[in-house]
Amino acid sequence: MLNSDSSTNVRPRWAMIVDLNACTGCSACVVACRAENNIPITGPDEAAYNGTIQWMRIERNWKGRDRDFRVENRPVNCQQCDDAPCEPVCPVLATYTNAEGVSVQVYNRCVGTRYCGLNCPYQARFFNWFDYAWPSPLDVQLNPDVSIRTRGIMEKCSFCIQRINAAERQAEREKRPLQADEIQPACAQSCPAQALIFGDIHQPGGRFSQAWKDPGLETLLPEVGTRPKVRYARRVATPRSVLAAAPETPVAEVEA
Amino acid sequence: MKSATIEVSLRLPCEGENAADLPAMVELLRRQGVAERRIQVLSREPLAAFPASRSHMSKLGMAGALFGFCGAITGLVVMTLDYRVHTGGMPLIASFPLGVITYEMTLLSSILAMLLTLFINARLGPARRMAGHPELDYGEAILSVHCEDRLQAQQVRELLARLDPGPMATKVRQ
Amino acid sequence: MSAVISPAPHVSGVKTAADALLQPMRYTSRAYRRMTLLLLMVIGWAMFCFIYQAMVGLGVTGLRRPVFWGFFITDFVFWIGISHAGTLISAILRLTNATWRYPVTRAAEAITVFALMIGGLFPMVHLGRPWFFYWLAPYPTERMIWPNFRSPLEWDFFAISTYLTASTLYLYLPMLPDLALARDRSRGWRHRLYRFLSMSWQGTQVQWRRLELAIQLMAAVVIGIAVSVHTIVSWDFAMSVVPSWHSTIFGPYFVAGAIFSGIAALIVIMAILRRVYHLEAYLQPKHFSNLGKLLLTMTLLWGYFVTAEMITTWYGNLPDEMGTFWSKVSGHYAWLFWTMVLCNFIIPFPLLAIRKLRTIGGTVIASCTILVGMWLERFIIVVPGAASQRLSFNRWYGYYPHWTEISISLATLCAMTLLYMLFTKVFPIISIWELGATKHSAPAAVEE
Repeated sequence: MLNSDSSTNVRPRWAMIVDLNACTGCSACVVACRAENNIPITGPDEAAYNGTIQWMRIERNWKGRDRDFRVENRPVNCQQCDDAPCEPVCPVLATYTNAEGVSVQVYNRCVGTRYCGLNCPYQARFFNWFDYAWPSPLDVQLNPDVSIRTRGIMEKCSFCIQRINAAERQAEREKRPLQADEIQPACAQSCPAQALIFGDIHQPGGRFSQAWKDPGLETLLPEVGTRPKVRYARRVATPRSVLAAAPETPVAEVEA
Repeated sequence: MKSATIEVSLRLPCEGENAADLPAMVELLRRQGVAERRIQVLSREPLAAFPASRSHMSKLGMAGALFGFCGAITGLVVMTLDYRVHTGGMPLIASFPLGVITYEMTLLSSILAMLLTLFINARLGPARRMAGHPELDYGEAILSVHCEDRLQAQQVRELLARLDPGPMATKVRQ
Repeated sequence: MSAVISPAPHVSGVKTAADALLQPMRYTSRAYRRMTLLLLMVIGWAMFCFIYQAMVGLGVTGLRRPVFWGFFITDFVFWIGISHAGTLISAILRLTNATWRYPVTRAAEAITVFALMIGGLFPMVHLGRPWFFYWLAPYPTERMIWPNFRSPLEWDFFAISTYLTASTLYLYLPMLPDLALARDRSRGWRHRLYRFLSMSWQGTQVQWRRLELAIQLMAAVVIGIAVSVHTIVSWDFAMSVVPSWHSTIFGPYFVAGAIFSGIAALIVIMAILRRVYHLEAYLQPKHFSNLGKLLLTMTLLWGYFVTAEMITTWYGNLPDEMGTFWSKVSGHYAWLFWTMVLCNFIIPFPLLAIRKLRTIGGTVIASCTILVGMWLERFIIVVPGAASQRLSFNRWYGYYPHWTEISISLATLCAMTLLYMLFTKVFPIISIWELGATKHSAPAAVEE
């Protein structure tokens, strides 16, 4: 009936393309994200009991068995869905898609029903099971731009919203439009293979907005209908074994 | 009863072979000029001899439901519009969730309306002073007449004494 | 004690049924007091556990991603289910005018109110920040931020508060005449309490007619509420995108399961009341047998629903749902699943179907296994569904309850028992006026 996002075609709409062909699975993005966003280190016991918090993770999928296998490293963060299943289920409106398309988590409002965590098909949401500590000297490297989360609330990837906000304020102060490559989230900034590409879908004529429209890009779990703003690029080529199995009939003969 | 009244009451068996014909007695008192609102038949169990009277309870229950329905929709729409979240392209006022909550509020309001009707109709409430008959037991009833003055009380006593020789009590109540 | 409930003053020596039914309110045994103390200790321990959990963090439970919900939500659904004993059963029995219901209704309605009180606590207990539970209520804050009416948890808030109000009234209204009786037969603080609660009930014929009408009308509305409440509880799961939860069958499946466990709870509590308060003359084998027949119907209905749910999943063979399916049937949770089938169907079915076995003992055994089975059923719905994630990278079958969860879950049972025990000491547990107290003589077993 009523749509409050009337200004969506003027404001930027942030998105990410992940180049699976380039990703080496080095996990630099995981570490950079942890440093940038003050993600707590939960320790080995918690890690053994699924208690880690990783806004960005590398899913290592093994295909095939024995010696004949392929490995695919897939960086997975919050997919920033346009139709995010996590949002409508929160009873206190602690999570919503903001005017720039980023699905944000309002830490102060969260009461910790954890319903959003269950309803995220990508399991990109993490719960603060405890008040975590940063033993010295780790506390020195805490990012002052990002709040530390208390126990009992959910958190997740925010596309480094503190960087987005800072750049936008800077551009506003200097009375100029926001530049295309001004903003880099920590993961994209640290990726040595440049597998993580961040940009604005709405930027007219931009390289990113052109690439975003490529029909070859995939989304994760498209069957859930979440319309993610993270898309994956994967080279699809016929495997050599399949080419080898094709009949060695010359093309001309068939045509004749 | 605001002014002081004199209550004349008669205790009667209402079950078994000796059961008194209470409706007939009430009718007789009424024909003798005692106002109907002054005559009460008290019992520990509902007496089948007295037929159900008409009540607006079901209608008021429906009215309560309607009130709850409209109130819930209005409240929900106003609250939603009051704090406009970014819904990411989804409608701000969602019809189905609104319906679920409206359903609950409709039934709740209906029940509360019926409760209110009951309390008003049956003159129930915590503040009223008790004009009690603690001696009343199962299987019996008390025919009680609240008289305006001593003269009427005397008349009623005589009338009741003719009807039944049971134990009779007269009390002045505020 | 200054507060005494005395026998009727005029009938000395002859005890009426009304007096017999007020008997549990007059006298408390030593065993009762010891039991109360014990239950209070367990509840106190659970409260400590809850405070500890709130102070340290929910990490003290066994919950971890992706099993964000575990024992607490299981308890929540279980107790909301138990609450359907009362109101729904008693409302149906009232509307169908089943005359055997008289000694049963009050006991059932009391279960509803207490089970709801307990179940309604769990959405708060399981919160990450329980001290902000009131944020779920639509109240005007200084920022004018309102709750999210799209969230099934918000529907829960409205549904459960409606149901609690309605079922409390539905327990209270038929009790008015009995409260007036207690008022007239008591002294001291009890007299003052009953004088307030009986709302100056006198028993005039107008009051009787209006009360009967009100109960009848409310019974109809309460059925509508009760069905919607457990449907909405099921929608907490069904409205999500979690593969095995997102199911159209969940509404009726949960309602049927709720009535199923509700009847079982009623039978168990009736058996205890009968034994402890010597109510053999009122709670007769025929009541157990009749409730047993209802329970048999629900056993079959439950079996039907489980079969329907499982077979459609299996036949559809969708990979996301099959993860949950196999974890239940032959995987990590198989032992719980098959225990559930044993408890909910294989044991109770013959006990309830064979007339010779449908005795008090038989129905009580069946009910006990059903209560266990239905708790397991809730667990089997909550945990394997959450554990079997779509992205296989996130699947996790490692959830085990920790001591806070176990303590708090056990304490709910104690809280139910305690609330019920206190209730029977303050209120007549069998509806005296509906029973038609004059038509019964007092049982010989009652001692002064």
